[in-house]
Amino acid sequence: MDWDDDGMDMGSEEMTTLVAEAEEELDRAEGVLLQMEAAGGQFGRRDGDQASLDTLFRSMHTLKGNAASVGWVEMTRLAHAAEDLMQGVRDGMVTPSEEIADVLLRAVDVMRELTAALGSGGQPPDVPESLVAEIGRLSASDGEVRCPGDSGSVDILGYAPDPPEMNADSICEVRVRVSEETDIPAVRALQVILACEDYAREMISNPPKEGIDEGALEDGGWVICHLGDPSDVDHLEGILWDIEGVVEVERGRMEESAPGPTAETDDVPAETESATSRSGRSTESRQIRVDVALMDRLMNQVVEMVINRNRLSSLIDTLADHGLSNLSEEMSATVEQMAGITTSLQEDIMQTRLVPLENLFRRFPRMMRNLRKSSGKEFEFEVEGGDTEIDRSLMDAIGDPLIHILRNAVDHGIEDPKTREEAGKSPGGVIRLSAFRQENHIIVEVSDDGGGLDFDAITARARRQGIIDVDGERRMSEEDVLDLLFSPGFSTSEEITEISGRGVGLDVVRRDVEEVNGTVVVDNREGSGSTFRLSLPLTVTTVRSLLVDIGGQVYVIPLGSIRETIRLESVDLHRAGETPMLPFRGDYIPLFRLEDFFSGCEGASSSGREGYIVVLSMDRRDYGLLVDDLLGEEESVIKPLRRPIGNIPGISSATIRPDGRVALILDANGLFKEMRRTARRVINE
Amino acid sequence: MDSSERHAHHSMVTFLIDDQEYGIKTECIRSIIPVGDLTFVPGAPSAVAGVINLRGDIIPVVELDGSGGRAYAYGDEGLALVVEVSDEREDLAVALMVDEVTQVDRADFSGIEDTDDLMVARNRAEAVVGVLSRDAGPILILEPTGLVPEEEEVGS
Repeated sequence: MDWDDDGMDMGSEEMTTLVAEAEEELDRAEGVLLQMEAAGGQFGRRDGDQASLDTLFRSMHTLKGNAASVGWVEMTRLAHAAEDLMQGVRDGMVTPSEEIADVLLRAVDVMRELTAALGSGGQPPDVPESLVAEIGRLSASDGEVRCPGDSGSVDILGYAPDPPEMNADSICEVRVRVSEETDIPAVRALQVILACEDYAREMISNPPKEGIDEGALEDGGWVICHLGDPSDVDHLEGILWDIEGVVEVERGRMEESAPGPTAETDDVPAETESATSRSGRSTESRQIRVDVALMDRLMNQVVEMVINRNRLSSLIDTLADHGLSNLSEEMSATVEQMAGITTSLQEDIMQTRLVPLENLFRRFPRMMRNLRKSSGKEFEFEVEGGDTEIDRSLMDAIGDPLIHILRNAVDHGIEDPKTREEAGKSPGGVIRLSAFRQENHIIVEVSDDGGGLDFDAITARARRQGIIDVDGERRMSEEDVLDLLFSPGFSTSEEITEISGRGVGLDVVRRDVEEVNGTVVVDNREGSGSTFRLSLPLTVTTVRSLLVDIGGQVYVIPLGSIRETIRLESVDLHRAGETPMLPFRGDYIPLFRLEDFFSGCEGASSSGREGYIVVLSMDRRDYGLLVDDLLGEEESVIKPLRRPIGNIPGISSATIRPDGRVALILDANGLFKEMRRTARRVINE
Repeated sequence: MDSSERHAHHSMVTFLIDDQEYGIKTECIRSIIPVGDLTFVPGAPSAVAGVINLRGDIIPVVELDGSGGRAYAYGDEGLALVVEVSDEREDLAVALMVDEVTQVDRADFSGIEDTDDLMVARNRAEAVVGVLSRDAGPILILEPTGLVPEEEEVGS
């Protein structure tokens, strides 16, 4: 690598930060350069342009400063040259032009490669001398190099935090002895070892886990384990005493080999410090850079608190049931206060996870520029609502789906200029990416003013690919046809192009979006374009929901999909064939039992004691779900269902109830889609 | 014993399911837990009896005999081995319902023989990799990856 002699040792965390920051600055710079390229010589005269030029200059300056501080020679050189040029432009010495934008975009590309190579440890590319020379030529050649922002750049990357020290006081030791005078000592020994493994930071046992056999405990079995978290000791001790054959559980402090007395409890935990101390620039001194993994851990801990808060509330009810109403009243006041704090803590942490969608959106103008050049189509790309904030993990999850949808819009949406003119449109189309908040959802839309979707072509292709048969086609509604777009392996493009349509398609988009509990739908305006709409939850970790009892089991329904709940005895039902219909807001909507969605599944059977109807809203229509009873609302913590359960349509995830049981979270959209799918199949048979 | 022989000895947990003794390598066992509040999952593969909460993780509970011979209702008490599974796709854990854990012992895995087809016919054969003969009767050896049922198409 091109480290000069002053190059410092960089830990992998510093490296990661450096790379992440460089990528961020490059994204930012690229956004401005694309504006400059589009505006040509006019750039700099419009409102806001000056701010953009400042941004661009600062990006180059930061890149240079960071690179120089770690002795990253090639990067420093190139960023320095770009910074000089930008300084000239910003100060009005050099007129911005398409040429400058183009050269700087090429420089950004090279810097990206350099960054990628640093991140992956690969071979960095050579910085072309011609490029550096060209940048130099475009600069106002007064040669004066001045860095007005220098005071704002802090060499913080060379700072290495002290290695984390274990706080010796906090380490607890647990010694367990297992008697061989028990029915199956080997099984007991294994249970003890497994229990300790769950909690221990380090442990040693006799016999070792792999060495347990029938006779192994003859000279006495024991386990010594060290726990990092003192609060675990009680848990573990309780578990251990429940295991038959355990004759001794002893607890104590670890003998102090580390400098004990100096380790004060008010020390900042080492982990927090190393994660928060790498703030990149002091120009944004009110902000710190926090490791995403740390954020996730914080969030998980708060989520556990929420579960426990719910549990406490239910315990207080139990107290009241046992006639201890005085105690329960006193406790509920305290718990309520604690609940309030937990809720606001949760909200604050959720807030810190929010990032403006701009962070994602700024990747796209460049991509669309390239697509414009390679596709031969003419269109404007408009971005709106980049300031809409969204949970970081959701933003990461929708990146690829959006790339796909945007490519689709270029490839299949916008017609070529000639066709557009024949249809009486302007030769250039518009593709618009927009984001906004709608009630409890974040909506991200991609719309184009192209030709819209060709229903005949979609059904014809689906038939050729064996997704539907002629018979099925006749019964398909417009909605069903649009749904075909998301079938695995479906692609409408007649010829497979470079841009999209390689067989993997919208089915992957839908899968990715549904994985984060979002939905994707498409609206069609025949002849004048189509809109893909992603609807995403505000947060990934909890959901406000209604708890219902169906057949003796608790199910969770997100409030976002509920329109209304209705007492069954208060309504007159009608019938359409087998399906009962409910008059609802001037219309009739079908009613289902949960078992209807899972035909042939034992255990989901109805009790025959349904008391309520929960009216669920879907993208386009409503339906009713019959439930036995309503159990109240809660903030449910979302836990994923993993293989082999995985993707069951209609069940999105699960939550843990205050009593420790698991309850399933229903997905109104998925249920209804599954219903239609099975219904179609039954008819086809 | 020479090294190859020693290598074939593994610690093994043995347990009973419907009076048949089974064995699984100790290294694959994460926990032995009582299974109380099982939550039924409609639409899940038939071998999945439900899900439980194991300290904040949601773990699927599987039955070896997935033909629905026994149905665990919400609230039934049972015993399960939490088995760690690493297959080509990911690391996961499943809880296997058992009647009783009988022993932890070392076993010579080089003595594993192919199973008699009849013996495993009623079990999911993919989980049983072989049989160890002992005086007390044969022990069917299970392979963790075989405990994860294939995801099924709902309603098919």
